[in-house]
This record gives sequence, C-alpha cells and structure tokens, in this order.
Amino acid sequence: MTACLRFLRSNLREAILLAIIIVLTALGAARSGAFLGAGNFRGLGLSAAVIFLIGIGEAGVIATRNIDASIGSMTGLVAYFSTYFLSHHPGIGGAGTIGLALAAGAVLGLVNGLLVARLKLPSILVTLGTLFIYLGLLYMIAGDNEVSTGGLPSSYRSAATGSLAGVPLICWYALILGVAAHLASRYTRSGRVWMAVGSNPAAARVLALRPEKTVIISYVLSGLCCGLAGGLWGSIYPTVDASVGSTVLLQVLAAVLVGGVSIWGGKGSAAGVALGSFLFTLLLSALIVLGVSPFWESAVAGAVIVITVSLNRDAVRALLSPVQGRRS
Amino acid sequence: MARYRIADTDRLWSALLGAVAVVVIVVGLTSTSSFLTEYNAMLGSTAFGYVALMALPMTCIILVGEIDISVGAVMGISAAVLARTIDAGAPGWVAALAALAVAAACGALNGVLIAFLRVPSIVATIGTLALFSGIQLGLLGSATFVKVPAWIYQIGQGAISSSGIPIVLVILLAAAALLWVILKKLRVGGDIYSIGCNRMAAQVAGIRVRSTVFWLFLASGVVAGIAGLVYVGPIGSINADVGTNVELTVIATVLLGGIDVFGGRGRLDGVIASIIVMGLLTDVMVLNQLTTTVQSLITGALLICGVIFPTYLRRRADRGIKPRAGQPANPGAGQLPEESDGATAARMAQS
Repeated sequence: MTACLRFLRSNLREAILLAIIIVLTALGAARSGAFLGAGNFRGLGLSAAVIFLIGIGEAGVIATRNIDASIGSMTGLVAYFSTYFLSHHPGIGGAGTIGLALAAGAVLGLVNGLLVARLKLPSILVTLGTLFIYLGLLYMIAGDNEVSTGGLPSSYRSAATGSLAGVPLICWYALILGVAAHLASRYTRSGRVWMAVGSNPAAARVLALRPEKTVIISYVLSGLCCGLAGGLWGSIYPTVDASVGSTVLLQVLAAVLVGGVSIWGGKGSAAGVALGSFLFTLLLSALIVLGVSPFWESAVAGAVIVITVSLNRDAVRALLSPVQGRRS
Repeated sequence: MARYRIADTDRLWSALLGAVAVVVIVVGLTSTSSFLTEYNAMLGSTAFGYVALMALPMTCIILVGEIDISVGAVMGISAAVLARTIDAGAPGWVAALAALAVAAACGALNGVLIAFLRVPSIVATIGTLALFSGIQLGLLGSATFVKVPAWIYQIGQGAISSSGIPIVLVILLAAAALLWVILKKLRVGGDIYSIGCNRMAAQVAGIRVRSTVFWLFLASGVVAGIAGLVYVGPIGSINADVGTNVELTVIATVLLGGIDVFGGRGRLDGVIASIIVMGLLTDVMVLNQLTTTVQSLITGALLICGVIFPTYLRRRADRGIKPRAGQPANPGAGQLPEESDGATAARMAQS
C-alpha cells in the first residue's frame, strides 16, 4: 500500500492526467454513445500518435532548455516532399518513402541545431526564422497543388494505418519510440547528460558534458521525429497540400507542456508526453461531441498552454515567495 | 577604451543600415517607374506602418531581455472585436474603444504571466499567440466583415489635408519621438537598459523590475491594438487572417535594427533606420509583385541574419575585453538570456 502511494506521489502528474482522461471519456460517453466506439478510438489513436511522434522530439529539445518552433513547417515540408516524390517515382515504395522523409527531416533539424548550438543564438529566434524559411520552401514546391494519396502504392498507404493486433501501425511506432525514449532518458548515461544539460547548462559545461553536442543531437532527433510524422502523414490523410502542419506547432506544444515537460529544462517523461498527447486529442474530440465549433480549437490549444505554464510549480512558488514580492 | 569600442559597434551598425536604406531606394527607383510617387509613398507607409508601430514597444521589450510573440495575434483580436461590435450595431468609436480595451487586456495577461508568474516570455507569448488568434478565429469563423467606419479608414489610409503627408506617418513619428524621450530622457529608460543588462543587479539596485516588465507588455498590447485599427482601414475588410505572422516581421525589424537579442543593448536610431529599410523593402517586394511565399522566405532569412550579424559584430568587439576569471569568452549556446553570456560579463567588467 505504501509502495503504491509512493509510486503515485512520484508520478503525480501522470496520475492526474490519467484521471482527467477518464473523466473526459466518461463525459463524452454520457453525451454520445459513439464516443466509446472502436471507430472513434481508432481516430483518436491515429491523431494522438502523430502528435506524440512529433512531441517526443520537441520534448527532447525543450528538455535541453531550448525550443523548436519549426516542427510544423518541417512536418509539412517533409509530408509534401515525400508524397510528391513517391507519386512521381512509385518504384521507391513505402519503406523508401519513409527513409527519404527521415533523411529530409534530419537535414532540416541539423540546420536548426547548427544555428542554435554553433552560432550560439537564441533558439526561439532561429527556429522562428527557419519556420518561415521551411514554410516558404513548402509553398514554393507545393503552391496550390495537392497530392491525393489514394493513388499511391499500397505499401505506402498501409505504412501508418495498417493494423497489427487490431491497433494501427503508427500507434506501435509511437509505443516503440516512447519506450525507447523512456529507457534512454532514465537508464543511460546520455539520457542523464541530456537532462543535466537542460537543468543547468553552465554546470554541464564545467563538467565537460559538451552541451552543444547534446543540443545539436536534440534538434536532429526533433527533425527525425517530424520526418517520420511527415512521412506517415500521407498514409493517414487522403490529401497532402501546403497547409499540412499549420496547426502542428501549437497542438504539439500544448500536449508536451501538459505532459509535464518543464520549460525550464531538465524535466519531463515519455509517459507524460504520451498522456499529454492523448489528453489533448481527447479534449478536441470531446469539444466536437459537446457541439463547440471547430473554429475554437486553436483557442483551446492556446488556453491549455497558458493555463499549464502558469500553473507550473515554479511559477506558483515565485508568486508566493515573499522577499521577491516585496522588492518589485 | 573598451567602452568606446562597444558603442562604436552599435553606431557602426546604425550607419550601415542607413546606407542600406539608400541602396534600397536606388534599387526601387531603377526597378519600377512608379516608386516613390505620392501614391506609393502612401501605400508604402500604410503597408508597413502597423509593423513600424509595433516595432517601437517591441524594442523596449527586447531591451529588457524579453520577447512578445503574440503581437500579431493581439492585432488580429483587436480587429476581430472591432468587426463583431460594429456588426452588433455599436457606433464606431465604441467598437474602437472595445477593441483597444481587449488589446490592453491581452497585454495585461502577457504581463501577469511573464512579470508575476515568471513564465519565460517565449513560452508565455507562444501560448497567448495561440489563445488570442484562436479567439480571433472563433469570433470571426470563415466570415469576412467589411463594415469599417470612415474615420478608421482615414487613419489608416488618409493624408493630412492638401499636404499629402499620411496620417500614419504622423502617428509613427509622434510615437518614435515619445519613445526617444522615454529611453533617453526619463528614468524609466535607464531602468529598461539596466534590467536588460543584469536583472539581478537592477533588482538589488531598487529598480521595480516586475512592474516595469508588466507595463511594457501592457503597452505592447495597446499599441498592437492600435496597429490593428491602422491595418484594418486601408484593407477595408476583416477576417481571421489579420495579424497572422506579423510578429515575425516586427521582431526581425527590431533585431535588424541592432537591438541585442539578449537585452540591455541597442540604439533607437538603429531601429528607426531598420524600419525605413524594411518598409522600403516591403514596398519594393509588393511593387515587384513578389508572392507572399517569397516574402515569407525573405522575412525568415532576414530574421536569422538580423540575429547573426549584430551578435557577431558585438562578440568581435567584446573580444577586446577580458572576461572575468572563470568565465569562458563565449558561453551561452542555446541558453535563455538570463544565463550569463560574454556580453554581460564584458559589461560588468567595464563598469
């Protein structure tokens, strides 16, 4: 019993998230019977998996006390590029397309990483800049065209939505990636170095942990995650055009921050990101069931981000600390 | 000696921008025949006037080491409130006041989050960007509103009778003069630089850091609201796209003006020169009918260049100053501005 309580206390955020998920599901089910149906859960799983795939990369970047604002553009650029390439060269098949998408994502992420770590520039400005450069590239390639994925080879179309044991493949990818991230961040030296870099970059440098290297790797991994999600995009959705990824940044940030990844760096768990992704997808779905216009989705994402960051323990402590309060 | 060197770097950058402004004018004159005619002078200032307005409070915010990514969304929400209140039958001035009140509330929310709840301004304003533009989208949906009062149209597009000077330009000059007085003549201007140089030291020295930061964000919200009204006039229609991605151009303009991304350093004349360059550049791009695609590419590239070059120049200048013992010359890879960096160490060494 005490062990159980201790586990609950050390995973308080995950427990709270789980409780909210259960409450939301119950509310949705009370409102509409179809909410608990297999079809709805499959849709939720697909959306949550996409958010998780991108979010776990973003969480890695945020854990190093940086941010990657270009995830949406990277996802969109890779999604259009890979499906466009496949539609002109069907011979490369599903695996080839995903490989291409991963390579493209890694290159885009590497550009971010080098700019941030080598030139020592603030990550938000660099990635805001590349957000628009990548977006410009996407519009240049795509223009007003769209690729309809119905005509693409079946080896590609089943890459994300094919089922294994009744669960879409993309959920299995997310599971594998999540378990790998969990194990790597908790039980390997690199994972501990990663968190150390985020929680105190100056100390990490003194300890010769080479924070620049970690930062570059975190951006490359974020690019790879966006590459994977972008590569799989066309396998999930019927068309791919230049607007893919326009909502990704805010949704992923909301999911990651709700999932307990600290914006002060050095904190966060793969389980938290997974629960955050699922909770956020569930929230959007519940809004539809409750009859809220989809135009308000972005406002909900924003409200979730604002509320989460302002309810942070550090912020509350800052507010309550009397000495600082008297000063200013 | 070292002090002159740093000041020289900043002055050099401002002078360089002035030269670029001349080059852009020459290119514009040679590439299009209609450039700088009365009509285009007006179009140029109105197409960029709202960005220039928002660049002024953004200068202060970046000087104290923060950033406001939500300005475009505040501009959008103010336009949306204007559209909805007019649509509901309210008179124009009530609608404009409501729009400004909402914009001020948005700025206050940013200020509370950043100054009092100590949320890093990057994350706080990304969140409020999503929140405000989401509310804008929720208010407007996919509809387009075209009822805009005539006097708002006049502010955005009109000229002072017979002289041909655009009203926006007058507002802009007045705002710039006000900011010059604030930064150079008033005590709060010194406070802004001090907070940006070293927040802890400023706090210990008795500067009201939190309230200064709060009021700056509130001011940024109000100005973004005014910019929304200025923008809406000449366009004549309001939809959910108003204000999208504007923050990028605003931040790029300020950084290109030589304001240090880490705060505490930079000159207002650099920002003014940068406003002229960016305004003319936008004008040239519009006149040459470049697509918004290319424009977004150019803005993105300018943002990165605007960070890279002034920062590089400063680091070069700082190399002449020995950092304090135990601190490496150029730490700060991908850290938040609060962390110690070479420039801060250098500033502390010289004082």
